[in-house]
Amino acid sequence: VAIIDTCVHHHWGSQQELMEYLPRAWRDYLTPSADYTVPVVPSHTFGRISGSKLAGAGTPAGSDYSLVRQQLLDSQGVERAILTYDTGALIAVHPAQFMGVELVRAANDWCIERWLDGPDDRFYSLVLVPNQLPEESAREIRRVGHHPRMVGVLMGANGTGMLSGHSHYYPIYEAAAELGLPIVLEAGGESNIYTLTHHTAAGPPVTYAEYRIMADQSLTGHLGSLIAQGVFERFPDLRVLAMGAGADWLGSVMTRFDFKFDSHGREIPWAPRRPSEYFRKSIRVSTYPLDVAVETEHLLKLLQTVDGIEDMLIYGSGYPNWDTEWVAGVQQALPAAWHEKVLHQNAVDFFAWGSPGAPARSIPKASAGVGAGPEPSKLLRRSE
Amino acid sequence: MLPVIDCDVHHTWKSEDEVIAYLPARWREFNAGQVGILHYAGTRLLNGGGFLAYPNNGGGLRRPDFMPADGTKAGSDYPMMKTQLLDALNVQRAVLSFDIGLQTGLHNPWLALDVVRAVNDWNAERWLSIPDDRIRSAVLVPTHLPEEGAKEIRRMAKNPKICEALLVTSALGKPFGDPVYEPIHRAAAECGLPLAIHLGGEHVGDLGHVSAGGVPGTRIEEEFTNHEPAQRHLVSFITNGVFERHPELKLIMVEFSVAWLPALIRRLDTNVLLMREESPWVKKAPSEYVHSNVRVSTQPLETLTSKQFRTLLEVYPFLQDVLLFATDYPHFDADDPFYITKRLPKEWMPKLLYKNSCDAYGWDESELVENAAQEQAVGSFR
Repeated sequence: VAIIDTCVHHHWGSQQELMEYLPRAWRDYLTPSADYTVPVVPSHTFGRISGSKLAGAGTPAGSDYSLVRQQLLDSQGVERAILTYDTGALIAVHPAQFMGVELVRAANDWCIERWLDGPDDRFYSLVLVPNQLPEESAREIRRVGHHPRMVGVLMGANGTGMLSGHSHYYPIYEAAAELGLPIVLEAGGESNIYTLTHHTAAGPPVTYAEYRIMADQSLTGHLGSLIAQGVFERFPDLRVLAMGAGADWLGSVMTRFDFKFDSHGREIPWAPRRPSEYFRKSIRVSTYPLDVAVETEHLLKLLQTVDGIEDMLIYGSGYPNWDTEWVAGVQQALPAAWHEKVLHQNAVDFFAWGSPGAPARSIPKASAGVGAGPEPSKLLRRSE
Repeated sequence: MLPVIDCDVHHTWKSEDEVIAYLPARWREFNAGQVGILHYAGTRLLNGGGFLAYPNNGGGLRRPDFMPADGTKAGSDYPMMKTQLLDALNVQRAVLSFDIGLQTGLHNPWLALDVVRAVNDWNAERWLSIPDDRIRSAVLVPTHLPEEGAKEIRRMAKNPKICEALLVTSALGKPFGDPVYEPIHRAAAECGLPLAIHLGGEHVGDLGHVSAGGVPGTRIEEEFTNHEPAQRHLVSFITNGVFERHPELKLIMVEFSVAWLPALIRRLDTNVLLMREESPWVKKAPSEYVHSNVRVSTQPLETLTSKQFRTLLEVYPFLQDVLLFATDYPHFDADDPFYITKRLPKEWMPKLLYKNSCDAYGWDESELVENAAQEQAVGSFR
């Protein structure tokens, strides 16, 4: 199987590296003296106390271009890898909103120049957006979303305290749909000092284990909101990837949503289909982290409560996090019949990808040429 | 005929005045003013109707046919409850758990304490004095001041009809397993009462949110995620070692449904080593604590097709020891034994309908079986 890894956490070597892409005025502002730089990444509330990254993955982990190629792409036989940021994605919710926009632009430019335009054509990435400012986000999607190696839009974290179905976000979905880019929601988007919504209901987590065990809760809320607020009806081509919380919870959530829809569906006439239909058509879930090595039998039973789960899972390693799931482990745990889909084909369909090395999706008509479109996709009904 | 134990029945007062009569003079006078309890909080909080964070609650929470003809509240009329629930469904024990105890969420800790005490006194005099041995009930626990909560548990536990300590709103904004609530854990354990947590406590708009990620925009979004507080509370009991300190203590999760449970159990077990890095007192596999100490009421049972639902529950066959039947009478989505028996494995029924509850509440099941044998066949609400 030609492996596609959709969850690779890359990071700048130091904040100086990012700041090279900032306008001069902000660079000066953030460097008040030669020996001090104002940190821009909001502090993330939870981490594993015995180490949250793989040993030997660089300092900081995921910041060394050649090391990522060697440790991940070469060793795992990865054909395409999507760079999804680490805590760097949290700059999207920086409360100094206008500087936040500049930081996000800098991050996208840094990513393109340092990673996507480098010699290795296996790297792809996502457009980071300052989602607290939807019009600015849409502008940023249109500015860099045409780059042939940008394959989606990353929401970063929750910059507004609202669930993803709110109309506030429409400009983002509109721009994403216009460019044929899917949305990626990452678990943990509620856990930074600037986001006031909580990672869990009934009080935030206290320990990292609690944070990790209930990482599916806020994703559940965001997906429920997207469905119930009719976003998939308003933007029928929009696709969403829920990443970073595994997938063992999916069967219970789909069951629950359908059950509740049967009794309360009349409240939302703008979203007339059963939630599981929206899931199957528009939502995919990242494997990272399935915790494949432990409780494997229960994992499989839970996954198999969803008919056709093998069409909904998309492989992500999570490299270089401490709980990185290498290809062999995932292959060992999941039935052989699923491998081609989970490790390759579902990502190709979801990101509407052509052949390896090719742009992720059709380039706008003018340059695409007749017949040069992507392979037919199960998910995407393309207007052109 | 199998006896039925219903561990979630909502009873209430016909008018707030019934409860206000039990309040200290200070609050009664406060209530008499224009900004008194009735005006400021009465019909919402004192009445337990404070579902402010349920958007679109106007759709109705109570079944119209369960409302008394005189226009008073559903669940306020014993003869009606006797006919519609206790007699009709062959219920041998019904645990009355208020409607739904949001008085614990009144924001003034001193007012909350006095109102909760008044509610408990009202319950003892108006309901627990009824000469019907099928009726059991809960002590509502004030939570702002955990030492006072412990005192209230000990005060009410003397009444032989009190069978559980009911936690609704976590006024301190922390999940109920947090060490700040240890006085409440200890009092319940020492009195031999299970701790029950009922859905809805987060709906008063306090520090603990009703859902993760943001406020639900519609009632259906609230329904999608209203199992999340249950997960948070349950996990906190395990990570904080409550069941190591109180091995006999039972925790009952009420009205949160059950489909969320199997995946949570796996996520707990897969993270046990990680958990011990910060919480070394987690000695056993978390699933063992769930099996020995946690009970979950079945209603509203999320069955789409019984096959699909069984596949989900049978991931952990020990769940047949964990589930307790409940109706949620008189609410709109009440389940009855007929509904359950059609959808879950037949061989689970004795445990679900009465054995697990007898074990959790410490009741002698032989007496119930004897009584049930004389009753009519299993009924249903419809």
